[in-house]
Amino acid sequence: MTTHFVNLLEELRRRAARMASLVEDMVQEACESVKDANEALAGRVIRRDNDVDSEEVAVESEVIRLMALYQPVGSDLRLLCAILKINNDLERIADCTVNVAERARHMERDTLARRRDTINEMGVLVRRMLRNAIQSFANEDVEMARKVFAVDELVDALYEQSIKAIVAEGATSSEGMAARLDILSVAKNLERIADHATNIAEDVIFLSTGEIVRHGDGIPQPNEG
Amino acid sequence: MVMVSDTRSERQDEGISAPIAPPSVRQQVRLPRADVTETTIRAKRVTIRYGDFAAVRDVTLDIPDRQVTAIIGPSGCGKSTLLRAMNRMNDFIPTMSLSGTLTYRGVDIYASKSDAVDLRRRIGMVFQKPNPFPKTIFKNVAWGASINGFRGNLHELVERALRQAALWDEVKDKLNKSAFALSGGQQQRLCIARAVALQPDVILMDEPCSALDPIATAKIEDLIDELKALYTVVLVTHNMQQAARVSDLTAFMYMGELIEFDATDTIFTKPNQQRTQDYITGRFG
Amino acid sequence: MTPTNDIFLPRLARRRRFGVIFSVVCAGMVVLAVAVLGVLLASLVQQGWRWLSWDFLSHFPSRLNPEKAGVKSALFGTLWLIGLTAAVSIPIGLAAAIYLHEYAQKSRLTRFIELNIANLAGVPSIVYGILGLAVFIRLFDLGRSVIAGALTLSLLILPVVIIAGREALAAVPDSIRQAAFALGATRWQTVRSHVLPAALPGMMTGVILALSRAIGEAAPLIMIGALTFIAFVPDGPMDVFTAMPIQIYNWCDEPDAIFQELAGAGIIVLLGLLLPMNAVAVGIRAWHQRRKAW
Repeated sequence: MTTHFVNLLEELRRRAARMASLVEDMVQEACESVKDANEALAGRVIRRDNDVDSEEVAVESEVIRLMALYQPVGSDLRLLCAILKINNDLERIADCTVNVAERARHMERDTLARRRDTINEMGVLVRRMLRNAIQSFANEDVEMARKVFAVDELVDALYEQSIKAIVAEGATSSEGMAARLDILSVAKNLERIADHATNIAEDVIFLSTGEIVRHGDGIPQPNEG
Repeated sequence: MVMVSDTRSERQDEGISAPIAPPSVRQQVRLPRADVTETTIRAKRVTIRYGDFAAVRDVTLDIPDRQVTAIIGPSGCGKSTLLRAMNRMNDFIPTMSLSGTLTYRGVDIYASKSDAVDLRRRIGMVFQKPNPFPKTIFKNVAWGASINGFRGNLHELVERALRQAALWDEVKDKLNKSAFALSGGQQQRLCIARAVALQPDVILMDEPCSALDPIATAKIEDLIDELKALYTVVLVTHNMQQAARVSDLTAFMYMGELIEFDATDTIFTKPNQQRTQDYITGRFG
Repeated sequence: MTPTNDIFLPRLARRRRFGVIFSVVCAGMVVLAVAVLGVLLASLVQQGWRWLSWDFLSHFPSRLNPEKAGVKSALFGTLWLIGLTAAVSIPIGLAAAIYLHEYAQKSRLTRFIELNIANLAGVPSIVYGILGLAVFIRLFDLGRSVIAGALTLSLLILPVVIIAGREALAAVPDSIRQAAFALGATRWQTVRSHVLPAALPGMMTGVILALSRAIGEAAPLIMIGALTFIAFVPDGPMDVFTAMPIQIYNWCDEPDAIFQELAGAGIIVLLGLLLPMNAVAVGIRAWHQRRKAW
């Protein structure tokens, strides 16, 4: 029974990894579609979300099935709980990328090009966070998971910055309001993706150590303790 | 041995107040009051040998008061041996020898002037296969009390014990029937009633459900949960899920050694030792 | 028919045939044994049964007047012997069995004792007769009395009683003892309340069977000098006596054919004592088998 269960766990882990990879691609493509105002790419992102949704349901069902049939304990139990949560976070990230892609479809190439720099910078950071979070899950690497928390601060700062800039501009002229709202929406979604990546990092720490951590609970930075 | 009876009847809700008279003529070792120490049984570097073979090696363990402690481990790891040492049932095996100290409420139970018969009244035992006496249900429950010099109403004692064992409603009309007319699960609850009739301090259970079907097992697990309000329970089981469901603390033993001892939810969610982790996830054993 | 693969050669018909032959042979042996016993019993009954009457039981034996002879003295002698032997051997034998099984530590000494008890059970009964002569009659100066006879027979059956007692005790499952000890009972409380009552039927069976063996013994009683011809019943334990086997043996020795018939009648009376005893013993055993719960 155990060998069979171990194989099923490994299969599930691989499946979660594949989904994570898919979602990472979607984030990449969504950011590019914003940068280049590429409607075709945006469309692709939106279509791929269907795959993510059905995969999320499949993974969740498999987790529940394994828990019911095998009553796992210890690290097996933590792995299944982590997969369940990460699965959910990935699906939310995919939804955010869809939102981003939909905004991208509206954008013209030269829409508020200046503002798009901030977005692009956020995009780079967010992609890095997601990459680290997923890597840390694959290797159960707690140190790498902790790095994600630090970058989240930067993303939050950029988001604040971009809100301020847009509000300031909007105060002076009401032209291009729709474009500004699009930018705001993209920034918001990127910030949300960053939060979800942080959740994934928290789940990895739980998986490795059994500690349930929540960002903002005074988590030590990588070069502290 | 003098038992302070006030604490005992305070704890027992039914308010049956007849104390158990001092049974033993040899009042050699005086036990302290029941509420003084929080650790009921302490093992310190206990090694138990059968001839040359060391079944338990250098085990140090504190059994806390009024909680359920489970001892798990693969077959032959020494858990039953350790359990039986606690009420000196191992004495019946001639090749057995014990080194280290095993104390009950601060008193060394293997000291040469320590009385095993009196110890067993306070530390009761339920065995793997239900073993009621070939007598009536009433006599089964009442016998232990009467040989220990119980002065009081036997009927009340029997009723209280059977209620505590969640068996009263099923047998109250047939107390004079043979104990063997009961089903396996009922017989095991009868054995539990027999043990609690003596108002012990500790109840040791050696795989009490391994001979029972799942429904009988579930009833006994519920019972253990109720018993811990009144008694300290030490449970040996090879069924990990049972240990997880029922106990507050779990000790994992392997090849005679104590590998890990911690709160049950810690053992089953994030154990500290790799061997514990491997055992509970079924990777070995 | 399930398909067979080529590596098996079942030969079912042959195997069944052998089975049938074997069971027929065994059944035949049973028939033979029962037939032999039946013939024996039949010739016995045919020989003596016309002498069976209340008079036969209430008259004393008579050499001169065989028609009026009876077995009263021998019968009473045998009854005295049963009583006294039981009174001596049961307490000693069962107490020894309890000690050996429940109390004694397993050591070289106890193993030695147990081995010797088993040996003693097989010693020929005449040896016990010689022993009885030397010890009870000469040494203790009891004379040729019923009590001497009973003591000798007690020695004879003591090993058997001890062994039967031990087996009855060993048949009581150890889990019952463990349960009693775990309740804080001393060994005596455990034995008295649980082990003995459970072992008692087995012990009784063993005792009854041993006694019925003792009744049938003539050799040791002859050795200690039970009289062959007396015309009174024993007054008390110190009185002289005779016993059924001796009386029967005595009658067989007489040349007159009528005494053979009397002997046959005597045998029937003796069997009339023995068979019910054995039946009771077997009955107790069967009842206990059905009632016990393990």
